[in-house]
Amino acid sequence: MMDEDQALSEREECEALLPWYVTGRLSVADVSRVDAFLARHPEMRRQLGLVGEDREAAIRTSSTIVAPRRLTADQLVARLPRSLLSRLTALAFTPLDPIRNFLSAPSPSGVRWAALTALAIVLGQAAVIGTLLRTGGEPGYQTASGGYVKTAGTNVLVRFQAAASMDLISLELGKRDMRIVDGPKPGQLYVVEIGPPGMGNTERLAREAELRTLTGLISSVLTMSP
Amino acid sequence: MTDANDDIALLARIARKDEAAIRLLFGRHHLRVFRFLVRMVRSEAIAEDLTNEVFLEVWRHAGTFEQRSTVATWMLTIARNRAASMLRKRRDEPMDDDAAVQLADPADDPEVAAQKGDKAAAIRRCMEKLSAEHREIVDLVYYHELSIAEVSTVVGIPEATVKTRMFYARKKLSELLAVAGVDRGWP
Repeated sequence: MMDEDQALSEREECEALLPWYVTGRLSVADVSRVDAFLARHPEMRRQLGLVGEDREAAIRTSSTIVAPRRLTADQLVARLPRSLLSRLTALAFTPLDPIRNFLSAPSPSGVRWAALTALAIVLGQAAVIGTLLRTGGEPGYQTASGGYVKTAGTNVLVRFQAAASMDLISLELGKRDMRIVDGPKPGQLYVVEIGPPGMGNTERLAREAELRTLTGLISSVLTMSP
Repeated sequence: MTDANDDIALLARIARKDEAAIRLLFGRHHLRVFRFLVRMVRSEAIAEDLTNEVFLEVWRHAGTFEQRSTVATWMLTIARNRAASMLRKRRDEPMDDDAAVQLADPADDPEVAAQKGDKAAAIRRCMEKLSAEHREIVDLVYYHELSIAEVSTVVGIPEATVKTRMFYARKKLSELLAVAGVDRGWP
């Protein structure tokens, strides 16, 4: 683009900085420069309005783009390249973290120990599964995508608005002593813990209704079978 | 802890192949990356594939992130490189009309059509008529709110060029608006 190579005049230089002046992304030195320029040329303040209009149009154009339902973390994770070693170590429990770290940086000795570690993991899992079978296991449920989620409290399934930010969602849920415990699941559903286990029906419905008031963040709330 | 610090902490975990961390990073940034890619490649299907590729690249190369930029800027840089590479290949191939679903012109939307006299709608329509380079910089500055240095990193051009490119994008937009009957009195 030939125009881009042409030097801008002092006036144009300051005009060129206005978009960042409006978005608040200018350095302190450049803000002072623009302030001084606007003080000398008050008629140029009109341009701030034009920049504001352009900015609003750009935000509106991008904000209306909705991500497809297929674009989920589950789909991404399914495509992650993983070595056999990492698949084996992914099965490990937290107490085996030292072994996982050991295996994540394979060395000749690491490779030698890998088979032995894998055997230990399988044996460990067998012991845990056996225990769960005997005790009936902790409260939990199997999600649509096959993951087992330990449920400490009363949960609902929530679909958030596509444009809602995770930070704002976490903030609003946190204010209500609620939190995301799992997701996203197929259908962009998240499991949200809304209270302690065994919550009464009236209280549960009230908590769900409270969630439904967050229309800017939440598009639907689905009750989960206790 | 700031969002940027959170992202850096997540990236450190991703470098150790922590799947929960990549899920969180995906949740934080996939929409932003997807929207940027849709604006670049003008095809939601292609943007979807490229978004996944961006996060796969993050998974593979998280350990090489040197904190010279924010994680968000780094991901937009990866996204742009991926999109540019795809667009170069596509230019060399015959166009597949089915695959290349064009972004709906806002003017096609009945609601927007009803606002044809609306200045804001006219600005959006004219923005779509800008060149790819101008659309990109307008998007990065106004929607993604990147600084001059960050745009320079993402697009791979000097900071002085960032400023002039944005300046001429705004000028071109005003010219298009003038042709559409909206005189802004500038330039």
